[in-house]
Amino acid sequence: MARLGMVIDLSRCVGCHGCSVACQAEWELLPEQHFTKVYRYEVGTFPKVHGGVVVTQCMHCDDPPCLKVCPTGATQKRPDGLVVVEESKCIGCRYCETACPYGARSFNKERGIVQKCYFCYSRIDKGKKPACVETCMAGARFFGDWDDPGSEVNDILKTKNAIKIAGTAFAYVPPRNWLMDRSLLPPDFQEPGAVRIWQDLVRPAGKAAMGLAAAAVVTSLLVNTFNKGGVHRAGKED
Amino acid sequence: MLNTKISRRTFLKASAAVGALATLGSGFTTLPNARAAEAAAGERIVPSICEMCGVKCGILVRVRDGRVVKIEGNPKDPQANGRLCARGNAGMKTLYDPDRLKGPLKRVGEGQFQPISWEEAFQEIGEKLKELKERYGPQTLVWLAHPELIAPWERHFMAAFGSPNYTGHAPTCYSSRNVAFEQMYGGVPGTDYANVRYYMAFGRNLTGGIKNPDIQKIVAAKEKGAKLVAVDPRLSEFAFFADEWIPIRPGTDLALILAMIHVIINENLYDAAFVAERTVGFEELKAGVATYTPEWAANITGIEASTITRLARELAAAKPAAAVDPGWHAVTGSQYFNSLQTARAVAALNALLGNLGAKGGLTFPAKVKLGDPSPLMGPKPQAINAPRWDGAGAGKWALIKAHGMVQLFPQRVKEDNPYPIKAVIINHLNPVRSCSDSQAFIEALKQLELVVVIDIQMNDTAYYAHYILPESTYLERYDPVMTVGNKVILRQPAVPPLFDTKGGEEIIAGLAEACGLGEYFRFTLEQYNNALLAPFGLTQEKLAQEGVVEVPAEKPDYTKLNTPSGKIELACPAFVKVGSTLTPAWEPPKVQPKEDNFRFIQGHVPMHTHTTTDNNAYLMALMPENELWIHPSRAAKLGIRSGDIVEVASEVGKVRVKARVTEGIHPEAVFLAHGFGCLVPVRRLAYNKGANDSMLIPIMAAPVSGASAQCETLVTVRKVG
Repeated sequence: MARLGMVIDLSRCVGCHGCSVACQAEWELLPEQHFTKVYRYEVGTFPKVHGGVVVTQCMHCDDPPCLKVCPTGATQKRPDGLVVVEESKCIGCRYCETACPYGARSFNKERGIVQKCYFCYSRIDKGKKPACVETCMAGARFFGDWDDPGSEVNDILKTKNAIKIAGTAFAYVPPRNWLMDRSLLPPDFQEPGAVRIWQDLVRPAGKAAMGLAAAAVVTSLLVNTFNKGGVHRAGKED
Repeated sequence: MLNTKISRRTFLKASAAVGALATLGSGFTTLPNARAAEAAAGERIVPSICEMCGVKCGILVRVRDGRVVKIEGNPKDPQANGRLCARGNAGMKTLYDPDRLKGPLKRVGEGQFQPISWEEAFQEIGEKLKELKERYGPQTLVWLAHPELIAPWERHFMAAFGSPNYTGHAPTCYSSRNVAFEQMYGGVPGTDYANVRYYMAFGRNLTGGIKNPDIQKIVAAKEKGAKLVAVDPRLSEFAFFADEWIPIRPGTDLALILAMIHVIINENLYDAAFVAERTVGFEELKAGVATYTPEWAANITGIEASTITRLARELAAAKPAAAVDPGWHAVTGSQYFNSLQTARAVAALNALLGNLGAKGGLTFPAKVKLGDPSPLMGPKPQAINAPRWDGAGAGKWALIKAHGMVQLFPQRVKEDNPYPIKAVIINHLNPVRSCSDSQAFIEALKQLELVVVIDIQMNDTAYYAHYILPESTYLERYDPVMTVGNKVILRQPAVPPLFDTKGGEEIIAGLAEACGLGEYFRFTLEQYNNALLAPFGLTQEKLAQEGVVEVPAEKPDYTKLNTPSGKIELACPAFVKVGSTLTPAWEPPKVQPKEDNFRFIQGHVPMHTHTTTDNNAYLMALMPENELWIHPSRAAKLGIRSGDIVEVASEVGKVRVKARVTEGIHPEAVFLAHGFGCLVPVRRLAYNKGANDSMLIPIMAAPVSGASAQCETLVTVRKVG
């Protein structure tokens, strides 16, 4: 069975946000919803400053915490590795948002549901590439099957010394013009402790009666590692 | 609000489809594909041309149930190659912008407009134009534009009217570069980004001021191992993408380039055969740069002499696949008083590399010979004797007839010399925010007897117009065909106009008819396009189906350039005639900041285009405002931290904006991205977001090129919140 994933080549990425908007248009998202995000960073002191961008989205974790906390089964993992949301089943409780270690979930306030990058399953099931891959002017995004030794993603992983984000479907090729600090990339997968608490204690009851209060408790327990990574969002304040 | 409604409807549809398929009870976790079902139902793809910036990439517009749902790059288009930037992807938000113009408007008071029919608007404008022509002569009318595909129609209107005053945006963009290369090379070459092995950009922010085809090519070159060097006072998008950032003192790029020429000549690193065969004036150039040593340049630029020497040697070692970008708007284009000398030095440096026409060097595009539409276009307009309103094309401005000096408009309106200007038609341009000194431009508009603005939105200039004529967006109209390399491409409507708007050609023809010039416009855009396409056995209708068609094109002849000598003029007498030097020479920038002030610099960002995308919901969500970049050492002295509100003041205006304290900027400069600070309340997303850089820039014209020299602006900064 396939295990689909993505490599992002930060030596090629120019930080244009084309991926973010192609994705928004593909999924008819609200303007404030970004499944793919572009972060800009600067490191060093003038005149020796390095800068660049890191792009992130749902990491399609091997063992996704968002799925574990979903009380309705809306969040599912397909056999090919895609973590998807059956939107008609989503009740908008937003527990998955707090469980996600990568801040990749996005609440659609008009539809009252939580969404995320689906790796454009509707496109790939037709043999097309995800919208972000297809539109990328820099050709910085590669999509393929990690289980296929001959796939493009495996090829790039080997030939370009890409950094695999453990426990996820992602790898990054670091920029070539400086030795990038690993902490600027999304961290290896680590399940937030609160997810266990949620799964073992809250969920059985939560399935019957869910309230925002419970969500608030869980929220307060969770730590969003990546959001605390000190990365400057392009065009916006932290 | 329109968007809200539709996305709910789509949601309901999608939910219904999901529900229906879910009952099939498949145990396999494959989600039903609502989109696929809909695609079968009524989706069509329309090939067209983007207009989210000026590059005009080929696009495929996906239309479902009469609504544009997605825009993708056309794989057949040589520029898009199937890919698009953020702006191109966001095009439907411009089409469905709830604040866009929905019908013709007539001004009835400050910021107040009432709807008027097209017939009445044309009639009233026509009467006024006839009256002003009678009173002041036809030259009293000025036409300002960011020249687009419809430009030949605009020029034809002005020729028929009898006015020499068609004026583009060049001095706020690329005048200096064009003047330099037109005189020295006989035209402005591009860069063969795809094959370059060593690439230097002086201020050209290739990945910030985005051109889709250029990005694709430079990334490919980088992948193949090209070295990229960014010379910029700011850690721009290209500076961090490049292999090396040279953080130069702003306004001194010329010194660095002259010193590189000095090194390349003195160390015999130039292409001697090319210089002998294809250039004139090498000895004069050599003498001219004799004193421009790397040590001399180090003092001026703040870049070490050893670095300058190394860059020169590296660049020369990669020749001829080595290129210094002629640039666009920045250092070589318009920003400094010495921009023309900088562009001339860039032209000379490239010539020493022998890269013109070489793989990875500078290139002229292939030319497609379109058909001649003039037999359609009525009587031949009479020759016009009046001088241009801005003096371009005569005396010390002899070299800039094609470029003009749009930024001088406010001063010229006051002067009435050598004749009064009483009317202006402005198409696809927002000079209140794209030229210098916004307030002065607004005052000038208020003085005029007739201001007509043609645009798709109520921009800051339209807000002061007597009549606003709404153009259909690029997704709702045809345009004259365009050529790229050996391809012809058509813009065509993906959907019919949503509102009471017209194509540019209908508006121009309507104005002509109303001024009594109808005989010049007794043809349709389709007939015009058919005439252009006739040599290829094509028609607009056929091209509409294909979108992009390959046609024969003529390759450039690099051995016979369009200069007096037929060669590259390293020594160029044309510049001496207008009071400049024979060969590129050092000129300091006009102003020099001191301890208590800054040089103000400005530029582009990848997610916005000029002042045209600041009400696009997707793009505004990406970057809703600009911030003032300021170096930490200077910020600390002023007690400024990131996020503080600061007041930025120049001799002509003040703005308030958030500060961004960053190591990525030269301490002498502060930077503001262009394209923010909309002054018009009816554009609700854009209004008052960030700061308008044009508010700060005094009206100037750089010597010889007439460029508006935006970065010759000094500002003070203080914390206000």
